[in-house]
Formats: sequence, C-alpha cells, structure tokens
Amino acid sequence: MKNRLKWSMLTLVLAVFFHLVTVAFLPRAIMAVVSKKALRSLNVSVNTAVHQPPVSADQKTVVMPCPDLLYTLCVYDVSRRPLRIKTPAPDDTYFSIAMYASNTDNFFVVNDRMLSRGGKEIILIKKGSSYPHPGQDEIVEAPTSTGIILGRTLITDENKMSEITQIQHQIKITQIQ
Amino acid sequence: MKSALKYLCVVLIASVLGAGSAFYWLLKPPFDPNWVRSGAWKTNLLAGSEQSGMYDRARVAIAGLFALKRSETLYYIADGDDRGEPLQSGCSYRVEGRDPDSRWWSITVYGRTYFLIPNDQKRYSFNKNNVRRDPDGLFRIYLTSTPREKNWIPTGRQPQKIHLNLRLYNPSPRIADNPGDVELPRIIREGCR
Repeated sequence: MKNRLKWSMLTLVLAVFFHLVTVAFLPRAIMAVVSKKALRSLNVSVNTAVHQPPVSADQKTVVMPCPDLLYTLCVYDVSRRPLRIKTPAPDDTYFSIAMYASNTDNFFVVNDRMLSRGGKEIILIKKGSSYPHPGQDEIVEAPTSTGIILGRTLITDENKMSEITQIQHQIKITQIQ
Repeated sequence: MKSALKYLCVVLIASVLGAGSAFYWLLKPPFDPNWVRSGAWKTNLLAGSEQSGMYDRARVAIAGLFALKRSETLYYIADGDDRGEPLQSGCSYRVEGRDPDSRWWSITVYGRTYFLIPNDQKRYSFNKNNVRRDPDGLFRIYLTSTPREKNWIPTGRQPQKIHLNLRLYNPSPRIADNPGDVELPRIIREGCR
C-alpha cells in the first residue's frame, strides 16, 4: 500500500512538472517552428525583410492570417549586430511595425498615426547592449536576441493595390555593420 | 532492472498526463478571468501583452500568434452563434450589425485549424471599406457554402467547425478600456444542411 502511494505521488509530481514545462515552452517552440518555416518557405536568411503578397488560403505558416493586410516579415537575430528598420508614413492607410520576442510577447509597436511625415528609423539592439550613434533614431531593446518583426499595411481598396504595395516596399531592414 | 522499468513507466505516464492536461487546459479552459465576452464574441484582455501569464501566452501562441496589444488591435473570436451552438460550415449564418467604433474593422472566417477556407472567389473576409450596408444602416454578411448576392463569404464544401475573427484596429478608447461592454454584430443561424 505504502509502495503504491509512493509511485502514485511520484507520477503526480512528474505530471505537474511536465504540464508546467509544456505550457511554459510552447510559445517558444511555436515561434521557433514558425521562424524556421518562414525562412525555409520564403528562402531568405535572418535579418531580411520579405514583402509578402496578399494572404490566400495556401498560407499555412501562421494561424489566423488577416487577408486585408499586406504583411512584411523579418526573422531577426540581434545577438551580434543591431538592426536598422526604416518605416514609411502613409497618409491614408493603417500601417504598423510590430516586434515580437521569441516567447511571442509583442514588445514594440508603432503605427502610422505615431509616425511623423517621412517615416522613422528604429534601431533594434540586444538587451543590455548600447548603440553609440543614436541621432534621431529610436532605440528599441529586444528582450530576446531572436524574434520576428512584422509590418502590416492595410489594403484599403483592392483597386489601389499597386500604391499600397509601394508603401509596403518602403519598409527597409538592414543589419548595422 | 525491474526498478528502472518502473521509473521509465512512471516518466512515460507522467509525461502523457502532464502534456495532455496542458493541451486540454489550453484548448478548453474551464474558466479564464482574462477572457471577456460580448454576445457570441470573446476577447483575451492580455493578448499580445508582456503582462500575459504563461497560460494566456500559450493560448495566444496556439490560436492567435502575432496578436497586437489591446490599444492597437482588439481581436474578438467567435466559435459559436448567438445561441451558443458551435459554428459549422454545413450551416448558414448571417452576421448582422453596425460598424464598431474603431478606425477600421474586419470579419474573417477560418476553418477548423484556424487557416483560411479555400474558395474559388478568394473571399475570406469583409471589412469597413468593402462591406455593403442595407438602407437601415446595418451590414449583413452571409457565411454559407452556397452563393449569396452580396456580402458572401464561402464556407466551403468540407464539413468542419469554423471560427470568426472580428478585428478592431485602433479601437476607440471606450472599447479598448471595456472590451466586454460593446455591442458587436450578431451571429444568427439561418439553417443547416
């Protein structure tokens, strides 16, 4: 009887441990899989912005994609060098740049209403590091060295697709040497 | 040898129980104080937030990766109609309401696995700009497998559960502060095959 209780308790304690580990690491695992799938399917390397066409039913990388947006995706890694992100400032459509840590937290977002005419330059740096030439740029500290940057440009009118695509393509992401 | 086998069995059973209960808890939580409801719609107050606890973070990672913070976008999810019946592709629904108080909004239909439902029309959503409104000021969006004259989102031929996502971009501060205290479109079942 005592022996059975001992094994039951051990099973229970271990089950609680596995439960917590699963919940805690699931977001990181999903983010890692999505980053890997994105890099492979888009055939790009890290720290490269990819301007994607409108979402269709063929897209199976990220759940619940919004078909009314043009996405720009960049899998970032600032462990060695910071990144410079240049944004446009469109007049008449929703636009945003959002940054996600490797645990999926949205640690930074800026939309077109917060941007001055001519757009903005953002420097993304590793947590705890510094950037010696800030100038007018906004410095953003990434809580994790890797993650994803997502640009969203709203398709306000399907007949204006070429103009909206031009706005999307003004997002530039470069590694600072 | 016998003891090692016992330990191995314990680890195996515990891992299945632990991971299984985690997924069950994440996919079908018996209660969750961070979700608020408005009619058939529900939203997670901490989606995209750095203040999310590990359970909310994991739930959003499964069914709403890359969510933005509440002040930027509110995501209302519907898995059932106004009467609480699960949304099915084999049934016809009318989503009826007035424009929510936000800079821009859209309603998108997803299949069982939270991806867009393939259709020849390549129509997956309607939004503030392209939805057609009736003379009474209401919009009526039809979710059916057979064509409708206007505001039609095809739900496909494959029988499956469907999900709706109502996105409010730059919601008014009144809604962003009280996401549960807002009148959202009704989801009315018109019939089933």
